[in-house]
Amino acid sequence: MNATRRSLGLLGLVAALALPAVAAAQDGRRVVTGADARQSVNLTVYNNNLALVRETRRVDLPNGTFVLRYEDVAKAVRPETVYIRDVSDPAAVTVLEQNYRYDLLTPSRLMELYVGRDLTLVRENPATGQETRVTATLLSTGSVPQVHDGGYAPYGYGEYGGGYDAAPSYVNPASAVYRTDEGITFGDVGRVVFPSVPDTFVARPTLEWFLRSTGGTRTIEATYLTYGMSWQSDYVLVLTEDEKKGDLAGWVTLRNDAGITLRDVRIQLVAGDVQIEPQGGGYYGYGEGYGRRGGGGAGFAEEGMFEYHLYTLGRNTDVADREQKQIQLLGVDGIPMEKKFRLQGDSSYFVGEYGAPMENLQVGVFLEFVNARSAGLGVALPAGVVRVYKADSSGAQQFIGEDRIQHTPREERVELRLGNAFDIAAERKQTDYEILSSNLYETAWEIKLRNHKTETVVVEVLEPMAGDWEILEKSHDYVKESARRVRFDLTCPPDQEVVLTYRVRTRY
Amino acid sequence: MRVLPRSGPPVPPLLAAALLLPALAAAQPQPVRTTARDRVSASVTIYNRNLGLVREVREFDVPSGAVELAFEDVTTQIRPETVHFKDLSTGQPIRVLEQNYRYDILAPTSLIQRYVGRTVTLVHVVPGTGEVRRREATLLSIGDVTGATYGGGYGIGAAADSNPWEYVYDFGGGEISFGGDWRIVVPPEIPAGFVARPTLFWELEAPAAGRRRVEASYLTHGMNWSADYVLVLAGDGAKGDLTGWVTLTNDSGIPFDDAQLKLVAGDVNIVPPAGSNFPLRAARSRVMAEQAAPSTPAFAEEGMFEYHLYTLQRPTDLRDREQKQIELLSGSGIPIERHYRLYAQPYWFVSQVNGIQENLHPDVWLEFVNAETVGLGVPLPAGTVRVYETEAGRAGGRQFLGEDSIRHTAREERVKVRTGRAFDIVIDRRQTDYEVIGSEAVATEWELKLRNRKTTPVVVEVREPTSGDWEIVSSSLPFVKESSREVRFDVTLPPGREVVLTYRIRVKYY
Repeated sequence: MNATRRSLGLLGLVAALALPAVAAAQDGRRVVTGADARQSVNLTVYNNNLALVRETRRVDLPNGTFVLRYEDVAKAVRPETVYIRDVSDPAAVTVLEQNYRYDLLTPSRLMELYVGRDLTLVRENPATGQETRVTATLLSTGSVPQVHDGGYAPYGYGEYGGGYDAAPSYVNPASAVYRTDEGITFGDVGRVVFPSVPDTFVARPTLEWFLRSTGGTRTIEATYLTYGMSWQSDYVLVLTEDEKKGDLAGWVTLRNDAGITLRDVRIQLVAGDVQIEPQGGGYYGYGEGYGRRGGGGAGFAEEGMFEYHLYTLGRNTDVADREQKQIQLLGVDGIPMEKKFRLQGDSSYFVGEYGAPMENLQVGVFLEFVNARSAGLGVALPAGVVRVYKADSSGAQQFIGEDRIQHTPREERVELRLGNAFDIAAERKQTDYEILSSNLYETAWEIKLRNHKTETVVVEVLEPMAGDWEILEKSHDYVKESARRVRFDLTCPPDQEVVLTYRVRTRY
Repeated sequence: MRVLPRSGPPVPPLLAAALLLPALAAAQPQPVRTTARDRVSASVTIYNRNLGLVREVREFDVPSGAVELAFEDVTTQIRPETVHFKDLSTGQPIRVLEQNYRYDILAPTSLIQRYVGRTVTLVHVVPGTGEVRRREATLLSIGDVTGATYGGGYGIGAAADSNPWEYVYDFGGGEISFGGDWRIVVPPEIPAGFVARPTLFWELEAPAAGRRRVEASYLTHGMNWSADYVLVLAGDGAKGDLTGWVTLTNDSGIPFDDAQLKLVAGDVNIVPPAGSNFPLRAARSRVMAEQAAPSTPAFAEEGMFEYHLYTLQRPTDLRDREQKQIELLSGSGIPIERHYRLYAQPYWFVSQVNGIQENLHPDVWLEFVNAETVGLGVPLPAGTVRVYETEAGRAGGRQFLGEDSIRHTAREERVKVRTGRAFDIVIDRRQTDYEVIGSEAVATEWELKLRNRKTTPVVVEVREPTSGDWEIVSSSLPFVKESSREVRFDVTLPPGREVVLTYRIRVKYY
């Protein structure tokens, strides 16, 4: 819906109830407040492209009813979530109406509003530069409505709401039709000069309130949600020489593309998956934090909040538009690590090119640790990317892989896929396929592993199972991990080939 | 302190910083700048997944107290979330309070947005006279650059570019206008907050003024490498000499002079970027080959975690937009096996195939074992193998025979290279019978005529990709069941002779 028209409609409604007040507002009593009036800013950033801005401003308000134009909010604001109140005395300011105005001043909107009205055409003589001024009546913008799938939608978003068939990027004054003393004309008419800008326009999307106040210098708090801000964790895990332990450091990476720069702001981060409705639905008004835990350590204090975790930065900082900011979250040394090798047979029914057996399969290498209090951790690990480093023979830290983790509560296991083991070769083939009846099959498999490292490794061979299955023959024992997967743990001595064979009967 | 190698208990730098709040908020001085000129050393580790690890040491002066440090001359494809800062100086180290990567680039639209509602100067040149006219005007609007700011307010801050034609001006005295042949001029001061290029800033707390030695490390896209092998066949082609080259490219946006270069061979896991925050740019480069002296091994190899690390034994200059080649390994007198293989399509065995397929040629495969006994036995990183014949006695020198890619190959593993098709081995095949057996099986009969027009005997492997639950009913030659999906006939062909292979296969597919 068009905000200008909506606000006019509401204006009528309000007018019926509170005529004198609106009359006062229409008298043009207008207060403008911008970033320079800010007293404090609190910023709560969520993982999923959402932030809650809470700011206070000192504003001189008149007594009675007036319009407060509230500038310098995030460009990506969700206007339906804005909420203001007077901090010291909530009764001192009453909100009659709140408008988010986005009828931006553009040449095409200006032309539309001047249809039927007089304006001036300024013509310059190209040879001499002499200007001639002609008074004209704008008869039409000359914009012909385009037929879309859903019916008519005019250029400009004045009449039909929704705004999806938006205005063309610019209007062409040569296509507009004018009446001058000469008659009706169009084309190369000159530069169009308007006597004034109608009041309905704003230079940028703007929040406005119709307020009633007792007047005086007041502290106003505004709260709103905005898109365009996100944060995630970035972890650095440094492995020791024997790969049995690791030092973990966690960093918060905050990204701001919301179209606002905030100075001296108090930052809080919420870790957790907060549901966001595609449209509407405000999120202010959740409960305050509880169960504050001591310490927190490196910059952020952590506490539980509803089903999430809230981190508060111990100092104020600046958040600039188009900035990515990193602040340390945690650091723990000497966490016990487990390295695992896995051959994932998730493509059992896939046949390589030419139907040949699958050779040179990749054996994945994984690193696992428990987010345990006994290991010095035992804290909520917000979702993010863990980058793992290990020193080479010269002592320089080399990057050995990264993986994304989900939100991980304490005492849970973290599993990181770092890459593939260069020196463990694997191949597999289906050695037999037999149809016993229309829903009963037997397949036989051969998996070969060759370890070209200098030490013995254990490779977990994970084989997917389908239907109602039974392993008839096998060269090695297995563990039934689930109804759909078995695991063979194969011990592979250096430079030896280990051959796993098994035969499975499947009923669908 | 920043993290990479760190010992001792976790450091809570911001706890102390919380006490410094008023000082920080008040301090808005010019940042301390450091550029590539301050570089003491640089080390670059390149992964064969379009990824590089840059580690550089710089020395520069800092004042004491709260300092904002602009760290310039990082790669344009930096992954800013991976940056780590470490103070190598003796004594009490610098504390990092926070690290910022700013990318609010000074551009026409971002600049002019700051002047909405302010006075600007408009310059107009009269075409006929060349007269320059200057007028002051208030910039009322730069049009709609918010993107779709309708309905639910789903406007995202990243603005569209503005069009000067859309700018609306108030010249005063009831003259509102737009368009026009004007050049817009604003005052000479750059508004605060803009950067000329994406820049890293650190908020630091320096215990004392003076010269500092710091190490910064980060991951960047735009660096890649692969191996290129040259396999030269000797004499009758039963042996070959293999040389491996490293081909590396730097499209990261900046050069590294006199850098320590390391390469990691192995599949290192890389997390796909969330959203479009860190676009991978396609590599693009010009070739500038540099050939190392072949007498001494250029790279030293070591195992690192589950990968292999190669360290170039001398510093090198890594220029931006450069492709560089350095020798990696070599082995000679490697026994080469040659295989002729004919493949077919699986569906042929359950459907009717019309006519005769004439003049088929089998693929030629060269195979060797990456064995220590033949002078290899080293990790062979993934890359391209190009095969050349020996140059002996050939006018015009050595000729190219074909190329194929190989994956990472550990020592003692087999390397298989398909070079092309054999010109002088000709095969005609046809389906001689097609029989439907009930609703669940099909039998087909095949005749393959194989002719060897070479002067030496060959063995052709006819590899038939079967499907379903199959059975060879009859065949004129013995076969091997390679797997449940492949049956192999080895057909020996004396020179100049034709051999006919016939067989009948029944496939149960339901």
